[in-house]
Amino acid sequence: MYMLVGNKIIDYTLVNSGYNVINIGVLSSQEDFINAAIETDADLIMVSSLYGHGEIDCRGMRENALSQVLRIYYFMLGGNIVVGKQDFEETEAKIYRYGF
Amino acid sequence: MPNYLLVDFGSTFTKLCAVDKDAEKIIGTSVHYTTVSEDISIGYNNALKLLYDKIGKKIEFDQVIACSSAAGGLKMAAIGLVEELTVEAAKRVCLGAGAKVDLVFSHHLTKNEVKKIIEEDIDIILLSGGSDGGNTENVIYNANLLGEMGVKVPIIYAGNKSAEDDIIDIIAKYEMNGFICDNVMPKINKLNPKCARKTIREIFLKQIIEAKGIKKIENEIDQVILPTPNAVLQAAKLLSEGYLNEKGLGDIVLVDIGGATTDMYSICYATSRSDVVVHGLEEPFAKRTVEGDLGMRYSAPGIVKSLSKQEIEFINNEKNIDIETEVNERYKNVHLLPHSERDKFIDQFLAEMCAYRAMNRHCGFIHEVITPMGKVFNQSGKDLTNVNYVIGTGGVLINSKNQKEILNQTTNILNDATQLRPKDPDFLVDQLYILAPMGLLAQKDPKLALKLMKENLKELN
Repeated sequence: MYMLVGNKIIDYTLVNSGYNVINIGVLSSQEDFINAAIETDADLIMVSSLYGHGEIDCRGMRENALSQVLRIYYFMLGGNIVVGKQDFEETEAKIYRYGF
Repeated sequence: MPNYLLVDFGSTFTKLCAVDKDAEKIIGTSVHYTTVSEDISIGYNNALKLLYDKIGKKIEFDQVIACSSAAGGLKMAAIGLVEELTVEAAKRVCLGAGAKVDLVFSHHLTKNEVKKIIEEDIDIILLSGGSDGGNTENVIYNANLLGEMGVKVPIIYAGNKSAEDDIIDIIAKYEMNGFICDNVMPKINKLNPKCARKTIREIFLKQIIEAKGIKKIENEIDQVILPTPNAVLQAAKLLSEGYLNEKGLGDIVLVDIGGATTDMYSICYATSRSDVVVHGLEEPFAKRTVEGDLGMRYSAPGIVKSLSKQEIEFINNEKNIDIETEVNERYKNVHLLPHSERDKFIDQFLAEMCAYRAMNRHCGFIHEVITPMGKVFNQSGKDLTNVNYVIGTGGVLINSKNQKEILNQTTNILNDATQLRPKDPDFLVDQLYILAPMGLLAQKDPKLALKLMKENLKELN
């Protein structure tokens, strides 16, 4: 499956760049990310999405995390995150408003 | 003629099984009420006399070994950080060790939660939290609170190894009965039960059976070596995997419907498919779940608790009964044996519901996700669709005139495509109550234990 391949490429790249990567796999929900961040005491939650619904999937993620733990995580989102051709700057502004 | 005597000190009954090692057969079995509150040896000796009467003579045994779920069984509390991760990992480890997990807590413990641990006579606490190198604050907080509140029951620390030194200091500071183990979840979604399970067993043998008045039976037998549910799990694992040139049955499910709980065991990998994405905490190959609200007597009210008013009315009309009255009667009279046809009819119905609901909670689920790359299957839990056998045990099932219908409830009778229930298994019944004894025998002579199980489990056509 293509998304598994993409997931592995990102994992490999980050590990080789010296990061401690906790890879939670594909088709993960917001809860999966947040639960893993809590257990591992992570600093950054990085979401990679290929299937066009990444922007929708990440709505409310920051608030969800804050409601569960009293600490701030950094969030990153990348990939093919919206359906169809949309204005990059508008999408970027939206993602920043989500706290990414 | 070298003989084994295998003893199961149950919560209600003490069951004996005598095995002739050379002839490779079961010589006889017997049952008597367990007498742990007066003196456990009374019930044992009564059962032994019954066994000799059945066999027709007194025989000598080379080894007498036992398992026990007497005096409430092994009661544990599982504590972790996040419910879906370390809490679930701790719970699975406890269940796999044969315990009843009466209390499950996440995040910071509260004082009320610690009071509950003390009031409910928990035998062992399994404390976990944080993957290795991850969160340490939670386990240190919880260990400190347990120490401050004077908890003296054995506490197994099986959490983040980075907190181990602090935990050792806390154990020393509060003079706690503490043990250190490998993390039950060292990495996200990775289950690591071995060390904690071994430690649970050691504490059970050295401390718990003594505290429950069971250890004194070791004046008359060789040793109590396992909690009974763990003996059943060992038997199921052996039956599935086989031993040397004695073949096993492959992937199996076992359902044990008792008075207080319905236990379900599955021996298989999470999936054999390459086209699914399996989500969540790693599933154990040998998995046990315990439904404490599904039982034939103590937990009978739990069977109908989750039904809606409409469902209760439907059942009452269909079956011509008053289901709420029936379950409450059974709860008040836990030693009720079904004598009338009506009692047997109600027990049959309740057993079918226990089997159906317990499988709901044990089996995995699958759903489709549409992606630009096509359909992808997302699975959580274990795929039981291709298990070869479903095996039934427990009094109500063994004594039922329609055993097949109870076991059938574990399959996909409603054709729900999202549930990974057994599709078309064969059915077996533990007609002689030999599973726990064979789990004990498996520790000494696995090949013989496997052979005897294969010969003595009853096939249902």
